[in-house]
Amino acid sequence: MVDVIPGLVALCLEAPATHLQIAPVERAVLGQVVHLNPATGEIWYVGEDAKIQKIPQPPDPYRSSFANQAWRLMNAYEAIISVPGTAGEIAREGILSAIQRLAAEETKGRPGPSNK
Amino acid sequence: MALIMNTTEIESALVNFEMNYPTLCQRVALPEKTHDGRSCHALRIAKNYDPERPAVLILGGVHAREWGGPDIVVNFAGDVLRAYANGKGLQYGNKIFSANEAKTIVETITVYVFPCVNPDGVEFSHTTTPMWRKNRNPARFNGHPDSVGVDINRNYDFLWDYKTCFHPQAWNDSLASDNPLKYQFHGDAPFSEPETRNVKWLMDNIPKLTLFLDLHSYTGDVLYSWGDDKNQSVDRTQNFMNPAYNGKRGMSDDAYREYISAADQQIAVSLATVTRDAIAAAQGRPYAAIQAFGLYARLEQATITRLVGTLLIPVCQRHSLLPWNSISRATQKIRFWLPGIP
Repeated sequence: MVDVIPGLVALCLEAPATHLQIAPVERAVLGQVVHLNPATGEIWYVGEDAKIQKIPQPPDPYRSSFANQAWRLMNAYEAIISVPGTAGEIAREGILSAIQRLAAEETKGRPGPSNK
Repeated sequence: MALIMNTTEIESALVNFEMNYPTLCQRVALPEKTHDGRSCHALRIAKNYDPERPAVLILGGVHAREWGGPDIVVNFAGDVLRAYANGKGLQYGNKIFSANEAKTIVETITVYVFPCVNPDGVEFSHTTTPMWRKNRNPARFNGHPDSVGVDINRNYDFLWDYKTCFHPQAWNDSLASDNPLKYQFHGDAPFSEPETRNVKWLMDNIPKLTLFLDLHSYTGDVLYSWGDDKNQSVDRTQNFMNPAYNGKRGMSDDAYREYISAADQQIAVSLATVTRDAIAAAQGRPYAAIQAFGLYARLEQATITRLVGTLLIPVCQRHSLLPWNSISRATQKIRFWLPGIP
């Protein structure tokens, strides 16, 4: 106990200086991290309070996998539509690309028109 | 008087602090009762509390059998309050803090202590099974006494789904387990346990949370972030939030490294060093200031596996699965793991 308590005291004494050091970093990176979990549709982004915000997705409403995946991606797009900065743009482009890929795969999987 | 405080004594110590120093500290009631129905409290230490001040959060009693943690946290709070109230400094062996330093803590920052995160487990360890580590969640009880409980320190949502997030070769019981019989059982879902939800609630509701320290007992190290892989400061995309790196974390000899900015790395190392040096100055006990991921590597090399247990009160360490979800890597709040059984 005598060993450890001075470590806790010393750490607390560093808090004011540490707080000043991390503040500029906090402002600089706000809104620059956006991630989508494709498995769950959950979106993580850094909010204005500098904490990770999670946007959960509601249960799938459709019967087909394609419809549910497309719906999930559109929800994801809506959720981050106002995320500012490059990270927001990249995330939105990524979701649009995912929708395109999904549509292409769905088209490929269907029987095409007959040549006869 | 018992040598180690039981859970009732820990709670009553906080009540006494609040009664004796009403202008310096207040208890904070946590929202969740434990499985055995216990109410939990933290203590906020600050003269003329101002939410704009930087805050420090210190936890103890996460792992039941690490008996030293709650006592250390309670005594730390008592020492600081008593020193400030009497206008005195603090001395631990050869380490001396001035009265002005005690004043700095009470007047310029806010300190939150949560001495006993897992009181059910601590009580069970004190009275029944000394080596008990988990909480006392009965949900998965199957007749075997070890099937009770969840490891609180594996129940946060930082990379909780370890079989998805980590490389298969990194899976081991030290990392986490989905087997309720294991001491590292991570629960049925992140934040499935009231104890972890209490910690999350605290972190979510503390303004300007700047530093976090979780006190465990094992070998004697001061650990800093990150704990899932080695640190690097070049590639931001290699981070725990990026599912593109699922299945690649936790290996020391591959390409994946966890991102930390160079500035934050410097802060983390500096804080760990300051903490280590203050500990060493007291009585000369050598602690190591290392990245949390280093614990795994050393354990694997030394095969220390279960030396744990006995109440080597002082401190140890724990790998650093970051214990909560809501502090962003963007803010890079620094966290340490003093002790902890791996």
